[in-house]
Amino acid sequence: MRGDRGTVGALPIRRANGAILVELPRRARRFLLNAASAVQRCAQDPASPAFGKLYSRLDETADVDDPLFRLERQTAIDDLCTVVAETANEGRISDTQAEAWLRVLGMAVLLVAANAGIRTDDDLDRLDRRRTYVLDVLRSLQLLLACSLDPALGEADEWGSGPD
Amino acid sequence: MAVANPETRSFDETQDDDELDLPYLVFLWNDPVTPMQVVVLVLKRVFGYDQEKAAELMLVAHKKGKAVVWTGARDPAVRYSIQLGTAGLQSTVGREA
Repeated sequence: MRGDRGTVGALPIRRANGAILVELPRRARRFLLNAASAVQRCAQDPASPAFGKLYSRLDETADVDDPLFRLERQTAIDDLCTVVAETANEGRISDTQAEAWLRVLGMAVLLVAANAGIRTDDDLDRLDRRRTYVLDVLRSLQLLLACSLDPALGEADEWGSGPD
Repeated sequence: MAVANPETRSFDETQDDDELDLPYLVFLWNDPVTPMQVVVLVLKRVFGYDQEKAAELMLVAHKKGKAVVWTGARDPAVRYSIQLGTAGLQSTVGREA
């Protein structure tokens, strides 16, 4: 898990009057929409290299996962991507919608990492410039949303990393 | 004619029951890409943990490779695992820590 803080200087996503205010440029909103599309496409394409990550086996005690749980996961992914598609251009979103954005961005990060074969911090350091940029944008948006949803997160500077 | 006593069970069945009594564990696995703050927020929202507990579990996963983040019955364990997975976190359900 990465301990860096991302870019939060201008706070284009912030809590205001009981909602989450979103002042993202059009390009960043397109980025968010593309992330949701990529997650939804991957979730419907078993041939996708990242499909196995999105639907990684849940229950280590069973030979195969219960199909109902698989369906539950598929439905949840669809619902979250739909929320993003419907609200990506809004100026204000609710906490529930912000959490949907955060979750979709998290799955998009997972897809990028899976496609790039990232397993360790060293892999991350060897990433090409394009994928590094994509991950930086996704993770910056995640951090902005997380700190808007829970201001206590922004105050926790003492985590450090310590010896691994 | 002998009638089977419904209270009588074979040794194997008893063993199975013993196993069923074991709690299921929800594991959170470390990954090198998810920001720490996001992991803490997801743990707080999914399990209702406070900041301190969520941060502690995140750090265990970060340093040891995995952390047991919840213990209990199978169905809620799998559902919690799904909630972690649909936030981009790697999670599984198992029996052994």
